[in-house]
Amino acid sequence: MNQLAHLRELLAARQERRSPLDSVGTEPDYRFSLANERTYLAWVRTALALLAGGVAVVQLVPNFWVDWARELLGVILVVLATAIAATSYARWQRRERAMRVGGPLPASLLPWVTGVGLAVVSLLALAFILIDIARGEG
Amino acid sequence: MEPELPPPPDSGLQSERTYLAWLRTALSFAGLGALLLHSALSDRPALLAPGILGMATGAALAVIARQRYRMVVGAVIVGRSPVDHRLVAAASAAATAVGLSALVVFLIG
Repeated sequence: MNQLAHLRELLAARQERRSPLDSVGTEPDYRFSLANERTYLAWVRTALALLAGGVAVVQLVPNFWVDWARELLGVILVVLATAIAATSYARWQRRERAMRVGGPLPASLLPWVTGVGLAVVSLLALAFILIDIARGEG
Repeated sequence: MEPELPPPPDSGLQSERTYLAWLRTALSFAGLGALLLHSALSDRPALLAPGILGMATGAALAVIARQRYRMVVGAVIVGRSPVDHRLVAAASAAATAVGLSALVVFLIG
């Protein structure tokens, strides 16, 4: 009996997770929803800027001595950008949902991933430039 | 299209800042689209599709941003949630599509 009640609770919780956004909890303060929307837009612009950086490094930057350097930098940037863009809707929705039910905002690995990704790209670019300088081509 | 937008109803100007955030996003799409089109016309014709998609999304979002602003102003005045998931989903989908197609071009070509 106890187990049945527990199962029912689990099912109800699952139902709640699945239900469309506007049927969960109560409408949050519009300022919070708009702040969530602007944060989402800032992530989309970050993705677009990384994408532009990736395209520019492949298409516009002169070749390095390491001849796959531009492709490597470009692909890392474009992958990072695509990952941010592809997860941006879910991130926005999770936060809107948390606001509606009054729970804590969910944690996200994305700031860490973005920071590490950019650090890797910067260090690689520095290494490629130093190699060019060392060979007298810089 | 009415040239004049309604005045912001909220003294914190959240609605106007959100409108500007959509406009900046539209500009980012258009700028990226221009870069892709430039690359397509100089030496990588495969970038034509993501370039057109970026430019078209930028243009569409610039128009939609105005409607979105009016909608937000209306929602704030009547005290309803101004959320619009379909617009959020569409902008995410467009950015993802541009990213994926550029990635495919770089990995294959």
